[in-house]
Amino acid sequence: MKENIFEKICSDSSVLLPDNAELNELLEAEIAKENPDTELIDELISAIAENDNLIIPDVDIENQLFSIKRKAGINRRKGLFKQKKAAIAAVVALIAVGNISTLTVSGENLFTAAFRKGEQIFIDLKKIKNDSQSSKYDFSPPTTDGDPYGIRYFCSVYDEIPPVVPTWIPDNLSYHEVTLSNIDTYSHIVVDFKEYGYEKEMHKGKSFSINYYFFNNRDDLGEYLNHYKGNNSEKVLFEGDNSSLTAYTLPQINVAVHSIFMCRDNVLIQTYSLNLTDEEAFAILDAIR
Amino acid sequence: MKKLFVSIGFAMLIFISLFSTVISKTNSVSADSQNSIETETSDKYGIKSLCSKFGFDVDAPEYLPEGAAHTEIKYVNDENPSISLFFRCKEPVKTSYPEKHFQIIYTYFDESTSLEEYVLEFNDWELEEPILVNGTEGYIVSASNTEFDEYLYFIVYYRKNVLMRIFLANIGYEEAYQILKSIK
Repeated sequence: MKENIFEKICSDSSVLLPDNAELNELLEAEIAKENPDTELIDELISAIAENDNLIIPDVDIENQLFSIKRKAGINRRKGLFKQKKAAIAAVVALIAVGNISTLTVSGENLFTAAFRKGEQIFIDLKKIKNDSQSSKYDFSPPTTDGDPYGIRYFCSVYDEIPPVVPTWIPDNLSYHEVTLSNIDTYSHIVVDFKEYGYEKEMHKGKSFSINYYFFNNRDDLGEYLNHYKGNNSEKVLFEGDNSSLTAYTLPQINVAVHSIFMCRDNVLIQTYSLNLTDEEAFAILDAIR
Repeated sequence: MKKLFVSIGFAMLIFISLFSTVISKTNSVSADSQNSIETETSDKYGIKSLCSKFGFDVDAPEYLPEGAAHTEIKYVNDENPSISLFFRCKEPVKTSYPEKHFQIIYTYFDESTSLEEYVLEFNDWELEEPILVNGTEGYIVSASNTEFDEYLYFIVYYRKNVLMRIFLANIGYEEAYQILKSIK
């Protein structure tokens, strides 16, 4: 069995216990070895954490290693060395998960040593912190009175001009996702608005999306239109400024969905409303200009 | 007199040669600028320009597999805003099957966000040695033993608060390496 250097150091009362800087050096050196001693690494991590008053979740490095090796299968191109390193990094990551709030204050070295030396991708917390001071993401699309949600701007990325845009949507909805795609006969642009906080939960919360299909050829649009018209759609009254717009409601996909389409020139516009009231859904359409 | 004709002949040849070079350059820019993505020398595929329209300041590969054309862009504005660019490789003559395709995903992180879920995600994948690219470390990750049939490799690169992942379907290690090394 390998000699546990750390235990040896601890048991020698004439030797002062190393501080975290030294422990980190030892940890880095051990992880960098071809055959790192997982027991020693475990001890070093515990000591570093103890010095920083961190709580270490009960994680068994050998078991983690075994689990990862088993997942890896026999055809892994990497040798045991790399798997061990990955296992170590996985363990440290698990520890980090348990202590993330404390680590951001005092555990930078633990992250640095484990992730960088453990080959686990560039996760250098200190660097990320530094970078974030100089690079703050702050983007919202340019808007105008006639386009308060920046939909015209998003369409302009593909050099498309939407004939109409919604000028009102319920206050609690904000734009969440924009998808632009090129299909052979048309460009498709979708702007989704969702109620804040429901992004990751499907079919919960309110949402509204507007789809634009910019057809290269109006004949192709006609085919799509016929498909919708023949699908038990119902013509709805749409008067006022948009007299040239004809809108149709589609059969409800389920009780929570309103689906309406309209077309102008070579553009097919389709809207979906999820979990909106009838009043809200039609108020959006009413404010399409 | 004979010398004069020879000189004029040479001059015309040079002019024609220069003219055709200009035409060919113009055509190549025009082909690259599909979907109105602006192109510059340092932004060969217009990726930087496109991402900047969504507020992303990114590094991007200068090399992509032959015939690469973007087909879809998805911008998500949530806790960690991201922009995904989908590409297909439309080869003039079909030489490979199944078709090569790939997606580049840029995700913004700030200091309040924990990254461990992304780290843990990589633990079941095979990491190659880090490759120094553009002053930072990039990685090629092998996915050969995962449930992703088409995706053989993916590239990971992080700089300026933006994590870049390139998922490569039916594209081999050599091209993955070329793509990673070309990031600027």
